Amino acid sequence: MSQYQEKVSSFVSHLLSNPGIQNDCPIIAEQTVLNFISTNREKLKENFKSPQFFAGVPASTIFQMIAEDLRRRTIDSVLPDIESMIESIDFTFLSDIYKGKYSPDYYVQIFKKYIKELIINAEARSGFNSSLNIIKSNALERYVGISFARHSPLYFELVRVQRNNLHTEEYVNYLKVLLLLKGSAFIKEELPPLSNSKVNIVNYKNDQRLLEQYLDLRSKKFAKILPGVTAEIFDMAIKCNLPATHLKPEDASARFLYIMSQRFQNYQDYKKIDRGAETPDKSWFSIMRKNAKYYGFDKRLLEDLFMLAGDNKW
Amino acid sequence: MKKYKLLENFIFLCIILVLVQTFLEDFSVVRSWSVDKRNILIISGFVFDLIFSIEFVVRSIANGVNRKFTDYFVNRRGWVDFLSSFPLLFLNSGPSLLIFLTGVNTVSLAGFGIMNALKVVKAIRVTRILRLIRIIKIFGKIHNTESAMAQHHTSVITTISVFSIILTLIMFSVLFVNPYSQIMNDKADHYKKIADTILETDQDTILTVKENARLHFKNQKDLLRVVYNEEDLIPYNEELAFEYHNFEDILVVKHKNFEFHFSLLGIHAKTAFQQLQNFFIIIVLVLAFSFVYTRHFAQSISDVMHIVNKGLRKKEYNLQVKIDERYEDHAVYKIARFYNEAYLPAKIKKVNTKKELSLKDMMNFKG
Repeated sequence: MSQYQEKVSSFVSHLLSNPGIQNDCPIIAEQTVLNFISTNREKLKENFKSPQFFAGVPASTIFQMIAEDLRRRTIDSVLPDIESMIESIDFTFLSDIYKGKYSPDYYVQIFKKYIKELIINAEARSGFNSSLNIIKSNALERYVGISFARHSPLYFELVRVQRNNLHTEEYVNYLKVLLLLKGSAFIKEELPPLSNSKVNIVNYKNDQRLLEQYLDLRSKKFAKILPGVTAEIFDMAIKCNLPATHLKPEDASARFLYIMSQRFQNYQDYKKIDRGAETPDKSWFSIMRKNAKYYGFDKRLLEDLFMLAGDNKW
Repeated sequence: MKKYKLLENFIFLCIILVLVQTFLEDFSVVRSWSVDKRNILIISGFVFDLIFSIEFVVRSIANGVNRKFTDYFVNRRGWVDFLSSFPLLFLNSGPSLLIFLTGVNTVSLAGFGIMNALKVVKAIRVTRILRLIRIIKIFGKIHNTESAMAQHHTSVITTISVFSIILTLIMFSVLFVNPYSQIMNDKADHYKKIADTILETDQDTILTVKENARLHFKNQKDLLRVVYNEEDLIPYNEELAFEYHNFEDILVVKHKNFEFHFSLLGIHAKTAFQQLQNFFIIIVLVLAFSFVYTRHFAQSISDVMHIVNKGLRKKEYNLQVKIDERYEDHAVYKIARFYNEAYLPAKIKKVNTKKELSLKDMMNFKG
């Protein structure tokens, strides 16, 4: 089989060099190729039988090899960025919760280790695209910073409603930690007594009653995996994957990051904004105000983000 | 294509230069430049008019071959090219060059009629400014208004305005006597009266008439030469007369036995100053339309339409239109508001913005 490994790798390189996706970030490119394979599975099976491709090897094996090759490439490409993201976070606020029992450096190490495992999961990996975009564009620093300075509704929700007394910088770091951990919701695990088979958040997304039990069990289990990270933080991180309708009023950080993750998932960096057009963030938040219910966004937060983006020409 | 672009750039350069030449031609008269320098301007004016006439012929032939001459002449401002080429060549710069080459350096009374006709024709010279319309595109690029729609509308309104002004100037020069020509006639009459007085009062001896005439005409600034019975009473001051006066700057008036050579420089300077004013009025008008109106048009119409069009056609383009509240009741902004508030939200929900590969992309894999 190893003789095909090289050919598979070359085939994946060929697909990734397509002009339509070659400039995309690796996570999006991986998704595009996987979607392509999934959509054209039957036709590809036929084509793979030709000597030009992989004659003599079962198509399912080739699909598996392609997926594996893509995953390896994506992880190799994205992991350094995520590690830099971890290094950029000031974990002092976590260290303070445990009164210095765990040093900030300790958190850098355990998060790096944890992310290496987490990123293997395709759905969790996919979520890192928006997280990396949020970090790269300094979106948290900008929006949280200006909101805290103005005491806008976002500040009110994050500080007063969620009852969080963190300072602006600490809050930004807290939100970054949530972004790192939110993909954990897609890890499948047995959660007795709720389920004896492996489940993740997708199984309970539409059942409010079971969802609460799931969140509770999941957070407690995670807290054991990462000593020094509270169950509340895990709970909030997992909730970042849920629409506002599934959340409580005090889950303000999750409602905020749910919006921001959607905003930055297919983030387009407009090199030049046409004259007469609104700025990208203002446009997006404005459009989403109309679609808030459809996507499950918190309309009040969207309104505020729209105002902040407009006032600051973001 | 490269040759065509080179030619276009050459024509653009000529347009800029001809405007400078038009300005200098009048400026040189206002500032009393020497005849040598002004002759260079006469020659250069002729060369430019010749270039533009050739350009018009070439464009006409090129479009005629493709049966597009009417379209070129009517819709693509071929008429502007025409008006600012042949009439100038035959009625203005051509005759000026001819007179310069034949070496005539004074205008006799008989020639004065021709000169007056030429003065009317001189008003046509402002049609050179019409060529500025051709380079509005450049202004568009300078301040980022590359919309063909904005350029077209600016071009139309500028053409209408500039052409109206030019037509008015030509009509005025044809229908009304130049007030400065009247001054010139009055002066001639004044000298004729003096001559009559001299002749009437002292008819005893020729010498007395000469002395009397010298006394009367000696300190007249605009009298370059006075001849009585073919004898110079006041001769030309060579330096003053021929270094600064060309053929059209000296007017010869004959009256009885007298011949008066007037300097027309002062009158020409006043006329040239008026033409400079007209020149700058038109230039400022064209610039104002190009910079202010084009910008306004782009901001309130073409930019809005450009964004809506882009959003309708490109599935990944989702920027909203900036609505100017002052004009929100305009149809353009009503469309933009609908695009912002109804179309884009629906588009984002319905249109799959995920990129897709096709089987074709895969089949050219070489293995």
